Amino acid sequence: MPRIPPSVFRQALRTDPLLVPLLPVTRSLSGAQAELRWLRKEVPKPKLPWAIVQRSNYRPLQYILGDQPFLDLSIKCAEGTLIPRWETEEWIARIKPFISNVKIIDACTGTGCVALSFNGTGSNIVGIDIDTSCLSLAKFNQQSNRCDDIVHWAQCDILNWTDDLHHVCKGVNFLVSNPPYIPWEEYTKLDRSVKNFEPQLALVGDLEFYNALVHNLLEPNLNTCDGFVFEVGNVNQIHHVRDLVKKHGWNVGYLMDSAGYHRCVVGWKPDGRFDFKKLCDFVY
Amino acid sequence: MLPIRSISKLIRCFSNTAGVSIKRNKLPPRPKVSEDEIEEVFIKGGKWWAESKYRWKLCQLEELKFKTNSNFFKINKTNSKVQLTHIPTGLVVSSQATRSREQNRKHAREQLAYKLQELLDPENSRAKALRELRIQKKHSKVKKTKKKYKLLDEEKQKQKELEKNEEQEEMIFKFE
Ligand SMILES: C[S@@+](CC[C@H](N)C(=O)[O-])C[C@H]1O[C@@H](n2cnc3c(N)ncnc32)[C@H](O)[C@@H]1O
Repeated sequence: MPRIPPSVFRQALRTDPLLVPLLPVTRSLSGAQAELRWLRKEVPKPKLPWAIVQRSNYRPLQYILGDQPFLDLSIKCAEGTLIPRWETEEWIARIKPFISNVKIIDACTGTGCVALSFNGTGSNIVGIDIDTSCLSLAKFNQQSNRCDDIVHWAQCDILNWTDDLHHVCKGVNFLVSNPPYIPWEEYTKLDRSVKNFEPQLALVGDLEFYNALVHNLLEPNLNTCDGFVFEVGNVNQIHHVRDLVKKHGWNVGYLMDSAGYHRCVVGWKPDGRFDFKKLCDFVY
Repeated sequence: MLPIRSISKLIRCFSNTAGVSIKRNKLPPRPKVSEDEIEEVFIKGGKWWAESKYRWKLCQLEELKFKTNSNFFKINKTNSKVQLTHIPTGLVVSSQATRSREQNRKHAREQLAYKLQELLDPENSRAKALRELRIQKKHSKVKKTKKKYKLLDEEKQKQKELEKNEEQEEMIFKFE
C-alpha cells in the first residue's frame, strides 16, 4: 500500500486534529472527514473518543455505529455477522422490479438484508443461515424495518443435503444467495478491517457453495424454480455455475458491478415466469 | 438641509429599485439529468464501468478479455462513495454525503444536474439564482433588523419553510 504523504497529515491536523487517527484507516482526507462527520452525528459526545480509538484500530464503522443503510432499510450490524456490501445493494435494486408474488429462498442470509429487500413484492420469503446469531439479528431487522411480507427464517447447513433443507426449500420459485466466495489464498490478502473483524465463516468459500446451491437447493426443485441469482467474486465461479445448469437447458447470464467486476451469475428457465435477459449485462 | 431620517429613506428607496430582485417562487426549476448520459463508477475500482446503453458493448469486450485472462478477483471494503461522469461533457461529480449509497447516488445526480446547467446555460441557471438569492437575503436581513420588520405569524412560518428548503438545496453543493 502506498504511504500517505506527510503533507496530508499536516493538512488533517490543521483542519481538525481528530482526523489524524482516522487517516491511516480511510487513507484519504475526504474519507476521514466523512467518517468523522458521521461519528460526530451519531455517537454521543462522551463516547466520541472511544469511537475514534476503535476506528483507528480498524474496527469497521458499521460495528461502531451499529447499523448500515441498505436500500431503504436500516440493517443492524453486530460482530459475528457480515456487514452488507454496496455490491449486493446494487444488484438487488436491479432485480427487484422483476419479482412479484413468488416464493423466494435467500440462502446464506446473514443480517437478512437480501431477504428483507424483497419485502413489498408480495412474496413469501425464507432466509437460511447456518449461524443462529445471524438468524436472531435477521429477525431483529425484520421487526425494526416492519417487513410485512411473509418472512421466515431457518437454520440449515446448505452444504449438506438434509430433510430439513429439503422441507424448507420445497416449492421455491426464485433462489437468491450471497454465499461465502473468497478462496483461502485471497482471504489472507484482504484488508485488515475485514480480516480482523468480520467473520471468516461468512467470507471464505469457493465452488463448493455453488455446487451446493445447484445440487441441494435448485435441482430438487426444478419443476417450481424458475430463476436464480448468486453473487460471485470472480468470473470462474460464473463459468462453473453456467456449466452446472447447462444440462437443464437454462439460460445463463451475468451482472457486472459499477466497479467493473463480475458480480452475479443469473439463471432462468426458458419458458418460466422470469425473463432476465433484459437484466443481464451478458448472456451466454 | 434634509433630516437624516429622510436621507436614509431616500437611499432605501433607490437601493430597492436598483437591480432586479429574485423571487423565491420564480426561481428556474430544479434541473435534471438524463440517466442515459451518466456513467456511474465506484471510486476505488481502477476500472470504469458505464451505465445504460454503453453497457452491452462493454460486456462483450469484457467477455473477450476474460477468456484470455480469467482469474480476476475482487472484494471491496464497505464504502458508500459514488462517482458520476456525464459522458457528453466529461463532467465528473462525486458524493460521500451520507452513509447510504442510495442517498449518495441521488445526491450526486442532483449535483451533476446543477453543475451541468451552470455549464451550459449559466445565465438562467438555478444555481446562480440561488446564489443571488442568498446574497439578497443577507442584505435584507440587515435591513430587517434595523426596521424591526414584523411579519404575520402565518407568513413567518411560510418563510421559514422556504428557507429550510433552500438550505437543503444548498447542501447539494457541500460534501463532494
Ligand atoms: C457472504 S455472507 C452473506 C450475508 C448477507 N446475505 C449479505 O449479503 O450481506 C454469507 C453467510 O453464509 C452463512 N453460511 C456460511 N456457511 C454456511 C452454510 N454451510 N450453510 C448456510 N449458511 C452458511 C454465513 O453465516 C454468512 O452469514
